Amino acid sequence: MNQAQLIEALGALVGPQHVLHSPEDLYLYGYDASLDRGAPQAVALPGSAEEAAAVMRLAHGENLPVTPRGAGTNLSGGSVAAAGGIVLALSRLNRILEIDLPNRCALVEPGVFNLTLQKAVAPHGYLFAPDPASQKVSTLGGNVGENSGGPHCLKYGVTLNHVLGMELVLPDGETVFVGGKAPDRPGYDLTGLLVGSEGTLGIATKILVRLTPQPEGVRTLLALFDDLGSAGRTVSAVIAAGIIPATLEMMDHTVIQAVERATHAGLPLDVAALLIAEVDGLQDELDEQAAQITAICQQQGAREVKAAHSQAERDALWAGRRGAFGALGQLAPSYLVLDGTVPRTRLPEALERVAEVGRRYGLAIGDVFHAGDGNLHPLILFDPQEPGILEKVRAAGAEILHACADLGGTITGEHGIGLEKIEAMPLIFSPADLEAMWAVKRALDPAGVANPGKVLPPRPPQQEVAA
Amino acid sequence: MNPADGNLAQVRQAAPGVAWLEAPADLAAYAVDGLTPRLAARPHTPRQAAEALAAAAGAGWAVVPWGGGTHMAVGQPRRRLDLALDLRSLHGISEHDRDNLTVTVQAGCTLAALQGALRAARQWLPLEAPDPSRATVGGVLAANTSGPRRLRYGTARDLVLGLEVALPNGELIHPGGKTVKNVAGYDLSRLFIGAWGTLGVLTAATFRLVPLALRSSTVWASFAHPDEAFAFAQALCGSRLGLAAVEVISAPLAGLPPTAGAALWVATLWEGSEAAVRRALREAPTLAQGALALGELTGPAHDALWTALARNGLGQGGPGSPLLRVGAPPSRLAEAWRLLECASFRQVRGGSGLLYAVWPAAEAMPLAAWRAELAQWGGYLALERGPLPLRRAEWVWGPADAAARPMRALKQALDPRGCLNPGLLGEDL
Repeated sequence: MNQAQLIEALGALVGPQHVLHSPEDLYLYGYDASLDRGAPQAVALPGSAEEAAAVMRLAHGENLPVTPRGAGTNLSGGSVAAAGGIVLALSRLNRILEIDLPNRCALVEPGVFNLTLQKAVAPHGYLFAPDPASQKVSTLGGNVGENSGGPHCLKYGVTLNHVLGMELVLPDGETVFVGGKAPDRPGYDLTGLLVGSEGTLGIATKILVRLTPQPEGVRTLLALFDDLGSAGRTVSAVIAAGIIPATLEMMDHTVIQAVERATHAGLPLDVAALLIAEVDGLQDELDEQAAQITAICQQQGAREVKAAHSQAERDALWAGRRGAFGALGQLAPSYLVLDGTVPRTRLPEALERVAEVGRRYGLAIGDVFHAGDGNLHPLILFDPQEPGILEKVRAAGAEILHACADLGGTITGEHGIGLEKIEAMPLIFSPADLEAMWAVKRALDPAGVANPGKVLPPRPPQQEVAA
Repeated sequence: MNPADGNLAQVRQAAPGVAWLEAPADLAAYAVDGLTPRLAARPHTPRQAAEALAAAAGAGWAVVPWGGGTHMAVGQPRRRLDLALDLRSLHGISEHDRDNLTVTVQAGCTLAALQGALRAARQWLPLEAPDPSRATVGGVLAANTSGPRRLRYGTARDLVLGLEVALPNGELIHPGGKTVKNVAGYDLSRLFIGAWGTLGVLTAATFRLVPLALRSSTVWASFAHPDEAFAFAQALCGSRLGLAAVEVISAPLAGLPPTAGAALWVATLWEGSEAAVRRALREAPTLAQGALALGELTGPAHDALWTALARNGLGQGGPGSPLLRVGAPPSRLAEAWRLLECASFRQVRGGSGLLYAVWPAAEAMPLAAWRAELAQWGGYLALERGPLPLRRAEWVWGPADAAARPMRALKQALDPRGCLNPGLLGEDL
């Protein structure tokens, strides 16, 4: 099937006006929020789950790669059409189909923005717990594909813990519903397998998510530290004291500089690190918990601990955190963000290793991250105009992932493997682990059309023969 | 000549390091579904477990993994049984990282032994099982057992960070890790949880832990009518009070007083800080509209009640009484309760959407009619436990649906010769 035939066939399925193929469109849909690029043959924007399944069936019949795409905020190249073929853009599937308060769940289409769902359920006193920093622009389909996290995972868990089921288009175009409002359905947990599979095992066309009652109250604390290690040790000390805060976020000196320049929130520019801690729950218990955390910060040598006294103060704190990636534009034209994760007790060592890599490569690295989960976000700052810089940045990134793996952690906590981290997979998985993943991939996608080239490193040729 | 005789030597030879058992008296202890294995193995290392499994799989044998034996007479009866793989010698706690709130434990450790070790650090694994002093970690995960506190803490799928699994090809794989957030590669650990040992044999698991609650108390209420009892349960689930569990039962279990005219007892569990529990104890009773009696339990009576509720109906009927598990949207639990009106004991996990029902041994069950009714609400019915002839005659898990096709493909991929608990999950699984 040549490109003209493909465009006609897709037009027959989703309507010609919903098939994009001009060079400009293909360029726009050729990249995401990572440093990777791809060259799709066509972009199809189905208007229903049935149309999405029809595109998948066509692709399966023609042996064409399909790359699902939400808002293109993917940070690891997962929504880049690495092998060409069709980009299946799910942005028109953007309806909230049902908000079921008695069962504390909602049925949504994959193109709904995370924040749109939050706003729809907030008036009823509920929230959807996963709230990645990109929530304004990232879609729930993307959140499911990546098993997104966000700042509240410490207490509330990741996307997986809040997905009850989904309507799934399998790589051969067949549709099944897995999971549901009734828990623990007999059989294998396909929902659990599919969450975080980055569109390589199937595509969710409806998602049943759990809703959580909003907490009655919140206390937000800001602690300033004169050295990074003390901030890191504070995280472990809080958890060890038996407190599970809703969130524990950290920013280092570099990021504080950028955020202050961008937001003028009044952050002191001479501190080494700041920690945002938030506890939520019943009003009756929050003051005591906040006092406990304050005491721990002081024991670990905090220069100052401030409490946000109003919603406005709290919002200002969070605006700095949520806008931190954007603020880094103040310091450098581009950055590579990593999200290696370590057991939280190894956090101080991990921070030292990151700083050491930065020094050795002569690269500025900022760190703004989910400290309570041990989930680092080192941001390697660079100017893409500088010759040879990309190779240097990638090499430094690979060393940081190596360090995370060495410390008993993992190479990605929430951004996914995509294209970007495939080469790092053997750092944490044995050949047998990867072979088992390949077995699962082949079982559900024997033709290899679902987002090929992502997540799993290519199998060595001799294994292909042996299998 | 018995064609198995040659195989026996072949299997033993393929894994010479494994301690094999073949005395009839030893093997009788591993009989299940009316089948007695030809050989049993009690590996002392995960590697030995993988070797024994591969040796059996290589000979085309059927393998049944064994833990504490609390959930063996379960499922569609196995079609064949040649090797019993007893994991109980793998019972060590490999690492308890206190400040990281994680533990890595071998599959044969009993849940009670694990909890005992964690309690010393004022932590626990918020997973419950009907018989924790016998149930092993591996068995609890394979069966995806849960208890009342799942409402607050989730189930095994939410608590497992990583697994070690022996596959029929002899490999030991390590899906997941020991960090709370981890999205590297496929999350294969979810696949093995609740798979009843049909995809691989669990040899170890890493869990997320929680601090022990500073205070834990019960508020109970008794009711004459299901509507009022379930309205109470639903009101609490939607409140911000921080409910840890709510169970509705048809008889006053351990510590709950009988009330004249009552047909349902609602037990609610409050755990957390002193201030939060105090507030809940004050406010929860005000939501119990129409209660005949109300009360609080603390201390040993409180503990005994929640231990009894974690049994999920086990032991409530006489010998041979089938135990049913119904899954339904939480808002439909009152209807599910009425659907199983004639059960001899009913227990509902409010908020979660589960109902356990014990059925009188001698009475027929209209399973197909119940299933048809439940399917209309998105529910299902599984025969959780039952005597062999019943499990042979009935669909234990219910009729297969469209999701069975990808499940079969996964089974074929990980256990291509169908050697693990063949038939337990139904045709081809």
